[in-house]
Amino acid sequence: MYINDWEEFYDKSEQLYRQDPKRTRFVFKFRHIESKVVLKVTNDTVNLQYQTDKEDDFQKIEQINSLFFRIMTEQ
Amino acid sequence: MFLENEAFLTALNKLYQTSTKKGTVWTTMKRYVDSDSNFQKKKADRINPETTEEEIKCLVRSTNGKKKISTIVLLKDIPSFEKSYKNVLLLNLDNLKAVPKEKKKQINTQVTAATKKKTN
Repeated sequence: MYINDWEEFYDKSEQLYRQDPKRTRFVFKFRHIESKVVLKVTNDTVNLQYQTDKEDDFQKIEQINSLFFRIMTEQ
Repeated sequence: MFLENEAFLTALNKLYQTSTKKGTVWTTMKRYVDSDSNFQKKKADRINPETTEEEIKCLVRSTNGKKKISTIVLLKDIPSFEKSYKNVLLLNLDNLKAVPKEKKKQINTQVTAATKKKTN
């Protein structure tokens, strides 16, 4: 399911990860020809997706990367 | 193919470069969890429960559908890995940036045109 609102996607991703840190994964998909980016967070039951092709959204990719690096390494 | 962190980033860069004209690159991240089926480890844990406290690791995998690469990042290496990973993305998502720039400009001009109308 695609979520269009970035804040919503970001918050839900974090929640999902915290619910089940062992099973939740974050997938970053990039297709150069279409210059399309799809971000996906899933625990095999719930599936959160966000897609973009905009320049400004590089910041968002960075944001979610650092979020995952942070929450993945929490005790 | 399992690689060290540095080698992984180099390979990822290559993967992105070979997938510019066709193909897709997926990068997956998750917390590294030791498999439950690891009997030896379970046994060791029973004998010495203190060893159960695992060091936190992060598993990163990338693929273009054909070639697969992976690495495990230790907690202490996370900041430097994150930085280099970001650089790899910056480098390879560069082409993505150029296309939407025009779109953005178009939107901006539309907006300014709309506001101009309003002010008029």
